[in-house]
Amino acid sequence: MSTHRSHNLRLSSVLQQGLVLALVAAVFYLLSSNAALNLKNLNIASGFGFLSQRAGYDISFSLIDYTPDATYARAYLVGLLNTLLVSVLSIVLATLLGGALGIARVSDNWLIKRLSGTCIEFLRNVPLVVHLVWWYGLVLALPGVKHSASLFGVVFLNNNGLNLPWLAQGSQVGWGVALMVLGMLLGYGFCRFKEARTPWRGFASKRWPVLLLGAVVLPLLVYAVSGTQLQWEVPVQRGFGFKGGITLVPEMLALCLALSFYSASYIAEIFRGAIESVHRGQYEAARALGFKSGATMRQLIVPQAIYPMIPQITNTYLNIVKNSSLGVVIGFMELVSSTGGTTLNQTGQAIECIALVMGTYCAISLVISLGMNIYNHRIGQRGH
Amino acid sequence: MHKLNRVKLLLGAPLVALLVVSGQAAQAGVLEKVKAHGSVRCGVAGDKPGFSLIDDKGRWTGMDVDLCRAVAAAVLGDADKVEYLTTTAKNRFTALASGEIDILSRAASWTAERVANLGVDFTTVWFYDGQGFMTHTADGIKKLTDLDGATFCLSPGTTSEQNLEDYFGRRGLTYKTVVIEKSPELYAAFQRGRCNAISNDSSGLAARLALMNNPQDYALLPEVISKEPLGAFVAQGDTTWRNIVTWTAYALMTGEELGVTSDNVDELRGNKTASTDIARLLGTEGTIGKSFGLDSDWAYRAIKQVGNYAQIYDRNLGQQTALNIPRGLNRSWKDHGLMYAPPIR
Repeated sequence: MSTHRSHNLRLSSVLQQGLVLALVAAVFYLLSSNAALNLKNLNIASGFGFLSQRAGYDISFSLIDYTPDATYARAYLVGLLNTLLVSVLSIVLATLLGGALGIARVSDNWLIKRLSGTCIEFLRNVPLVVHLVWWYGLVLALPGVKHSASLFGVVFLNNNGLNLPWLAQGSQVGWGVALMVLGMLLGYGFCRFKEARTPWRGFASKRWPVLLLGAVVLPLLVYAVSGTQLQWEVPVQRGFGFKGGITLVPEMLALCLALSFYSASYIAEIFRGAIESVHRGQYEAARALGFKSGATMRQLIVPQAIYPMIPQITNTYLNIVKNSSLGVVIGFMELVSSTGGTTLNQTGQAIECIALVMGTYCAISLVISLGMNIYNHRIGQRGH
Repeated sequence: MHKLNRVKLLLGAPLVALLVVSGQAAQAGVLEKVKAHGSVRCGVAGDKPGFSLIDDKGRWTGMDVDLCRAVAAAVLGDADKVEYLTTTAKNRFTALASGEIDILSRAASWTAERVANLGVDFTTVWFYDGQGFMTHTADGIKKLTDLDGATFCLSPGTTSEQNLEDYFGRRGLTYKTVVIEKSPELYAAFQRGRCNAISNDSSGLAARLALMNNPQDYALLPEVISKEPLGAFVAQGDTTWRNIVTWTAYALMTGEELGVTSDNVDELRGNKTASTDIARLLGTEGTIGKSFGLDSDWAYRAIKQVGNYAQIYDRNLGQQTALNIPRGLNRSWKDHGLMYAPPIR
């Protein structure tokens, strides 16, 4: 009797779920076909053909060659790279700053602890847009182009941006970065090779010096062997701005600073929570073994705190990527301003452009999630 | 019984949603919708002095606003029966094509590309404009080509980015752009020296300049690099509604041409010796109003409640206002301008 009932229950639950699934699918189908019909009735052209047309608008900051003669697809790529650049810079800066604030927050020193606490509370209780507008206002309050602050006559800071010397041929920078990554990979391989021959992991030397060596040596080696001429271009003031070098536009600086400081406050709290989650017994054991407080933190507590930290840090990183879309407020040409903004307006292809932007953010977020999950999994396996 | 209700709900909710969604596929006429709704939903910019802005008494004012008010007076008999929705340069055409607003009166330029691709129809030109430039007086710029290598502040989603490229790119001049969506932030960035020049519709620039604290620090360049015929858009496919909006605008222009103002309209309507043109405009002769799906007093009410084109212009942009934008191309054709309404007969 009871098996019969449970069988019935299972069947009805499967049926119910199937029904709901079918309804959801039907709703989506009808929504999309209705949208398609309405678009057709309204004579609105659809499809992604517009991507190959000439964009005809300027983008003030681009990592790759871009002119208004390039296509909408190229403009999309510029926007995507700008989003990624700002996100990566902000993630690195926010992690460093947040880590420092977080560790200061659990310090035994009363003053450091309170100062850090005050900073964190102030930063995280102010909305991100306010951070952004504030930083942008601050950057624009810098002196004008004709009164730029200069460092050794090669770096110039003014309210039109930060001008840095840069390689004359942009493509060499790409090769340099690629070689650095390759050097690090080789260093990593070397470490793994050595570790496989070490009887116990504890005896293995640290990895980071080898990685750093790889990243420095390989590009230098290739440079020496290939005989490439590297030419540095120093920015020179001419006309309304600076010629030569690279200009980091104020919009980008403000966006990076705002995202970094805002997110650092969250990362600091995640650090603090994770460090405080490590059992008190660990501190006592460390003291009993004669560890100094700095060494206790570095070698015992922080390594154990990393594991519980990862899921929340992942969330913060995802938020940084998504919040970089606020660049639209101050006119930084990232994904939302380029494809979701000017491209959308000029072509009128709202559904396509928004779908492209949504899909891209989704893909970036999934990749970050995946990477962090793999890292989390590996740390979990290593045990602590 | 309880279970049955749940199943009903489960099946019913999505079905209702479907009906709502698919209901928009088969559209009722906008005129019927407006009458049923009791108000005209008017999409405006909301931040453009002289065109659409809330004044210090909390009332909507401006050229764009008055066009919607005139339509509400003609259709519903009361110029105040307008519901204003602020739209951005980005979402304006989508809001119109999807039926969220009835009229887009937002100083949007009439271009072939928009009419061909965006599912919208243009009514008639309400203001002739062109893309102009404002610079810092201190930079001493006399003409547009002096701005080679300069940085321009622009608002997105307008034709100005393309116009700039057409002008500068084709002449081999270099330039950079900063594109900011909200007007206050855009003008703030320009004033703080982020850009050497700001480019927008000339009327908009003049309006902003008039409202600045230190107008002597900024200068408008004489060049205008594009044609920007601004006016109201309606959704494509509803000729009745398009006619009503278009001819309400024409009625206001005709009012100026025939000297019919909000002050003398009552007197002229009662005056049997007034010209037949005036009689046709005010509905004492002919059945034009009925043919549009309205009544014969449509134009009378629009002029009575909102004023004719000259009155509207003077009130919002004229000499008595802080903006003081000369009428230029927007004079009546009788005064050598471009405002020329087809005959109402």
